Amino acid sequence: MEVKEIWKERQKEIINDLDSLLKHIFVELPVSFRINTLKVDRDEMIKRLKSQGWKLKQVPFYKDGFILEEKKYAIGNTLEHFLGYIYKQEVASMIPPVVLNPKEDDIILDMAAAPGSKTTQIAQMMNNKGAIVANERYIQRMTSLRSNLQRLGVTNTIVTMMDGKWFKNLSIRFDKILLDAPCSGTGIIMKSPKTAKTWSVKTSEKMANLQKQLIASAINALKDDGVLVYSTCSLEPEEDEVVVDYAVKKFGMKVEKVKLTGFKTRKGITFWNNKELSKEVENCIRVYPQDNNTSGFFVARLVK
Amino acid sequence: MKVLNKKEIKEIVEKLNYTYNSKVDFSEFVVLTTGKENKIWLASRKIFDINLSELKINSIGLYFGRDDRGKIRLSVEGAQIVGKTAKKNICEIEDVWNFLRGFDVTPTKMTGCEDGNYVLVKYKNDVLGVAKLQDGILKNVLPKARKITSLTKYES
Repeated sequence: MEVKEIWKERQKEIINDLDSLLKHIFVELPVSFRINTLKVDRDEMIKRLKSQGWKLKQVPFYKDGFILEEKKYAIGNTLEHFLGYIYKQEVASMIPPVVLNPKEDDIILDMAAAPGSKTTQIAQMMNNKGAIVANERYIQRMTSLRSNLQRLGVTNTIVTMMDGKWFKNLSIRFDKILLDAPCSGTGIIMKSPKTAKTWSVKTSEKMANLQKQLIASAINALKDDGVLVYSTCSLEPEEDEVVVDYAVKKFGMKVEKVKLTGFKTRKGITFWNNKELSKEVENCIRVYPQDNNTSGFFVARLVK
Repeated sequence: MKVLNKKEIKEIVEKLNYTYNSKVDFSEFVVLTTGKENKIWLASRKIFDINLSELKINSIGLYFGRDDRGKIRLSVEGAQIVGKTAKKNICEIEDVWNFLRGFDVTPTKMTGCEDGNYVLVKYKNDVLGVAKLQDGILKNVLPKARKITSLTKYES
């Protein structure tokens, strides 16, 4: 499987280790998961899994996240998974809730929630307190969202089925919003190799148009001083820094520095397509597969 | 959707207490029912600080169980909540894998079980859900979406 030349050229403008990226982009990721502390005690669960021979390594920036060091088990088919004690989740996908840093009395919107990995992580971080509106526009993605919320024992969530763009029209104002935006998915080619074939600049431009509408809606639905985390699994600047730059310039959002302990990240870029972006966009993070053996991700923390 | 009042919640708690001799505490939740089946949902209180009339709601909170001809048929999560304090109508099984695949199984130990009742199904210390006890057999009522078709056994 090969990626398109134009994609390589574009990445070359951003990074100086393209060869390393190309080596990692089709490599299968290690299995990782969360211990669901809404149902079980973390330490007891570690003990239980270890007693069964699981070799675990903790995700450095999130205490309830673990990487399976030997790919010995299909963890989705274990008793622990059935019981809702663990949730299979890719390491990079654990970043946005950590950056959002939800508190127990927050009212939170997860604007594009299915299949619910991040929603359930947020609920867990809130100890099932506060409230989450988990929104999903498409009915075909609703089943996975609802079944994951159920299996993990989440009680603090309302599931809604609305176009994310509609939230700007409501009177509700949220303390925090996660917009894990629909994207071209060039950071997860290892999970969906057909993206390498189907991606084009036009795909990213089309996604960027939608992402700007969604981020505008999210900003409107956010309280003053509220926090918006914007993330994608795309490595394309049109869908990442350019969208954040739009939020800064059009809505006066501030971009806070994102720091993750023990995990290599790269700064957001501030120049793309002959255009200078706001300096503070460099506070965003780019996660590259070759740095931590994860999928590629982009995360920004914005304050209104 | 109907928000239950204190009296209605008390009735559910008493029913659970009668069946399982459990001490379920719903005080931190708003308890709701929906639909003809009177499905019971538990939702955190803060949810109701939100103006819900503006939202196109698909579901609220956790599905706890539903009324089945006067008996409460618990969801897996409902069973896990009740199972924390339950003292009767508990069946223990060894054949966990067949249970998770959706087959009827025979209990290896029964504590205060009444035939014809929904009983809690346990494997070691884990509550797996409920089943209907009929003539000494646990009739599997796991929802289709919850059944496991391929299993990873972890015993070494």
